[in-house]
Amino acid sequence: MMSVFQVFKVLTFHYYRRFKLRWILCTAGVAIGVAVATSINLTSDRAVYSFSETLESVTGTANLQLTADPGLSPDSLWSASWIWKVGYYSPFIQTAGTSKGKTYRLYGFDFVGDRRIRQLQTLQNDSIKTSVNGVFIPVDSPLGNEGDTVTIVINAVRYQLIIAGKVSAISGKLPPRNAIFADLSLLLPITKTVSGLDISVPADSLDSVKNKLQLQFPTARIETLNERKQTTAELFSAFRMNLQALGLIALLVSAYLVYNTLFLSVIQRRQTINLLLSLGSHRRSIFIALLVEGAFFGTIGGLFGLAAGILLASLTYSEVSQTLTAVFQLSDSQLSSFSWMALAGSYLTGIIFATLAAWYPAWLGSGTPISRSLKRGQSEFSSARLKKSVIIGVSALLLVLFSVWMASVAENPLWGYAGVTFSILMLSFLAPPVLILLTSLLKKLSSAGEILLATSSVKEHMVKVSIAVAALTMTLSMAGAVGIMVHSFRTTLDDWLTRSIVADIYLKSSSDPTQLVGTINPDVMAILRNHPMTENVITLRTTQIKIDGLLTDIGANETSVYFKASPADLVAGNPENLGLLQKKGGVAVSEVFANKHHLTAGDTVHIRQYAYPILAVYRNYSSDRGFLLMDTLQFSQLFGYKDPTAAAVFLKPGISSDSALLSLRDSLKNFEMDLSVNKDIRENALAIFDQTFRMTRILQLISFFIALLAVITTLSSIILERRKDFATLVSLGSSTFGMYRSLAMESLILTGTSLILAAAGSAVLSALLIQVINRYSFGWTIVTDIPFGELAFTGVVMILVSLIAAAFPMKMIKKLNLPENLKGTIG
Amino acid sequence: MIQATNLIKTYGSYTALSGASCSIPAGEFLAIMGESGSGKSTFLNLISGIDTVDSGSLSVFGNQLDGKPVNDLHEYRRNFVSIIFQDFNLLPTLTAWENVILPLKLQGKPVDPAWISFLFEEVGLTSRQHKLPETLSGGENQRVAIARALAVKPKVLVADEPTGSLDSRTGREVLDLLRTVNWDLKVTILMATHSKTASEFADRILRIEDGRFLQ
Repeated sequence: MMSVFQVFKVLTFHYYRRFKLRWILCTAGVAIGVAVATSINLTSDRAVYSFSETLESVTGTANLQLTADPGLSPDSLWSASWIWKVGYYSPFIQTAGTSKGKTYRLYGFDFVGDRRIRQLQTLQNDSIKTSVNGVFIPVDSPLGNEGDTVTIVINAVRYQLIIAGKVSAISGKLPPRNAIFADLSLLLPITKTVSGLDISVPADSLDSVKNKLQLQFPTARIETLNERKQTTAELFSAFRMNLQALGLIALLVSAYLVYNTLFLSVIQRRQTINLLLSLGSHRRSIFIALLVEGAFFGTIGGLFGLAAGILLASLTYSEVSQTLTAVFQLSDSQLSSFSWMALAGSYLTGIIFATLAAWYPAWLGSGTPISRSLKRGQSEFSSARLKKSVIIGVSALLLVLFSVWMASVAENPLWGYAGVTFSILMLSFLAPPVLILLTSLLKKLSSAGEILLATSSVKEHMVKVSIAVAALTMTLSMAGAVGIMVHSFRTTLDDWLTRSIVADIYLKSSSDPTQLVGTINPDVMAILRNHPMTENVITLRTTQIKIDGLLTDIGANETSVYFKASPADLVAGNPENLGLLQKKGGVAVSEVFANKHHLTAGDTVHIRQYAYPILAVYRNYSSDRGFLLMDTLQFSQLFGYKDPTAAAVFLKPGISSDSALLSLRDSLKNFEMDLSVNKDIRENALAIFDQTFRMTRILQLISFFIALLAVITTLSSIILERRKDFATLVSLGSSTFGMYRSLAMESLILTGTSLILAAAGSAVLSALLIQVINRYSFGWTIVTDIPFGELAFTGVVMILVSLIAAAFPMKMIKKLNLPENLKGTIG
Repeated sequence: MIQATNLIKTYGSYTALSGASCSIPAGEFLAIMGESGSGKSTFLNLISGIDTVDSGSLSVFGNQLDGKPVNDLHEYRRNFVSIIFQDFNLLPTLTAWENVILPLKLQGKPVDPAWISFLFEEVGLTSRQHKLPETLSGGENQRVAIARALAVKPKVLVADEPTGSLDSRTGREVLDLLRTVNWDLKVTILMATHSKTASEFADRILRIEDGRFLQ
């Protein structure tokens, strides 16, 4: 009895020594999948880690943070002095400024008294010992060098600051890339208030200190470090989910590539396998040897994949961090280190997928005598098998419908994921009946020789072709569904932007289009209101607050003016109430807010000691935390007077935006203001959206490329199986081009079936993504908008791809040894 | 007619034909007899246009086959010659009818249902036209293969051990059919066989040994 090792040596080693391309293809398949999965894991892990590191570096040893809005007066700091009995605290200021069009976060600390909370280390490895009139910037900051004077605009006023030094670390960690550190004494005259307190107390006192502080400062937000990290995780969850879904597609399709190549090579080794079995080798040894072969490809391919994945991650991380830094803060712009866990996870996943991909060919190949589907002349078509497929496919469809219903009842996105799983099952099992249906239809429509041959071949290889169709369908469906979701989201966003951005010109004191930082000086407001071109000016004030434990964005404007110009897209409530928020003392909440808090129009929301009736629920996509809009009057009541963060200008009739923009810029030349016309705001917002989803597009392209390889290898395996048939066709007078037409038709049937199923699959999956997963995860409505043009283009591309794919195996046919193959002496 | 002069065909270091010469008149049913490895299949492969002549001259009904690569011979294969194989080589998921009309479809020639029906009558399978090969017996499959070979109205029918996969009774039925086809349709038939019984159905027996015809 031959050992597994001996079987492996005979069956695998000698074979692949001869057919080098086969193992290159297998290895490449695994490498591609692992590379994509690795780059995704590394990128998202690093982004999360980077943000956490930023948080920890700035927070230092503080395990509690009090943030006040509006800030705390220096005098009120004394009322917190009781904290010294149990721990210590340090005031901080956080604000933002711009320099040369870039936004920076300014951190004000007590350099002298702060050392127990955090240590800023300069390049010379010294701690900053004394307070200085300059600022400190991170080593890789683009602001300048030590000794340079920089102009920074804070709240629309220019300040000249000296760079006193460069910070290499803060609390032993990398500082945020766009940070500027200054002493409290420098920033306090600018901000007038302290933003909050960083507090460090023993862990067992944490809760009691937190509760006492909340009573003492009822309007402040008090969070532990873990609570702040949790918020980070939630913010990243949507981003990671999207990437991980696409990573899974890449792994699945590359596993299919491995499966197909192994299947092909098992067919070729039929004789060798039969010989080994007749020489006394056990079926189990053959099975294990073939599984080990798959694992071997996973091991080798995985190594190449890791290397490629690290390279890909380095390239994509720069892309990702640009987007994320705009919204959050990341401490590094390059992929400076890897998570070994992420690497190990991707590698092991690649080996597992490759081994699983080898399972079916190993099972077939170890059959005694060699499995029916590998024997010549045995058709894979079976009515019983077809019937079973239909039953399972239809059952899976019912389960999809059940999942959708359960999602609406339980309002839980997990049912959406269940629906996605059942959808994939449904598509896989409906592939054979749809395939056979299409071939029967084609045969009825045309009696051309190519159709006769192609349909007969498809039927004969029903199992193999169905697996190829299922794999291609899954890829196209998921890519299509993600494409529909992204397009729908963009259309919804565009529509919302069109409704919301109705003023002619918008102003804010920051040049960063993603953030509303800083405030608008009262002098600026006076200039705006008195400008001859201005008809009306409304202001926007924003802040964040916790309502029922959930962080919420609150905004305020002159609602009676705003809603007259911008009728909102209502989910609930009377549209007339929107203009009466001030009069009725009520608020309008976003759909996300309403869903998160299980409230609707007619309910009441409590903020601090006040109760506000909800007069309307409307669609707002500015925040996935939920948005609450009130009139400026109520906002002042809650938070005291605050300068606005933005202003919107309505011009007099007949005045062009461009001429008004020039005139306003001239009027405001002594202030650093960012003015934009309506059109530019929309375009910038959509540009950020597109940048966020650029990664999705890249991964979609990779999936298509892998799908092309899958079609080629399926056709190649069919040709290898049918060499005798092709030799017969040549002997019956078929020309080379005639053979190509037949292969092309077979390829078109394969792709055509996939496209038909994928059309349905994309519809179902996108509905699940948009109406279930998205709705119950984030709480907002996305209006489905199918990009027919893009999908049609994809279909055309896939058809062209299938025609090209059919050309590749032609080389095999041209090289056929007719006499040998006609006698069936090979295979 | 078919004229072969000094045909040489080698495969690596092995010489399959070493100067084979013969002449075959049109309409003849010729049996080529020889042991395994004598070169009979090689000769038929050259006549069929599925292999190339290394040296010598080979002319089949005015077509000079020597000096041409296999890919250039597909017009010849379409119009002049048909092959019957030992193990039939029918496409398993096409019915008998579809298998028979397949060469016409491949060659872009019109299908004359009357002609095809006639062929099924000739081979005695009118009632089995719409059956799949796996439901037909070996003899029936071979008869379908014969009908397929005749569908394109070839000048030459090449049969390499046509009864090799059949029992003796069925084999005799097939050979009888070949003889009928030869008489009725005036098709030149070249049959390779090592069976004396099979060779008796032919007009003439030509022996081949060590790559040469024994005249």
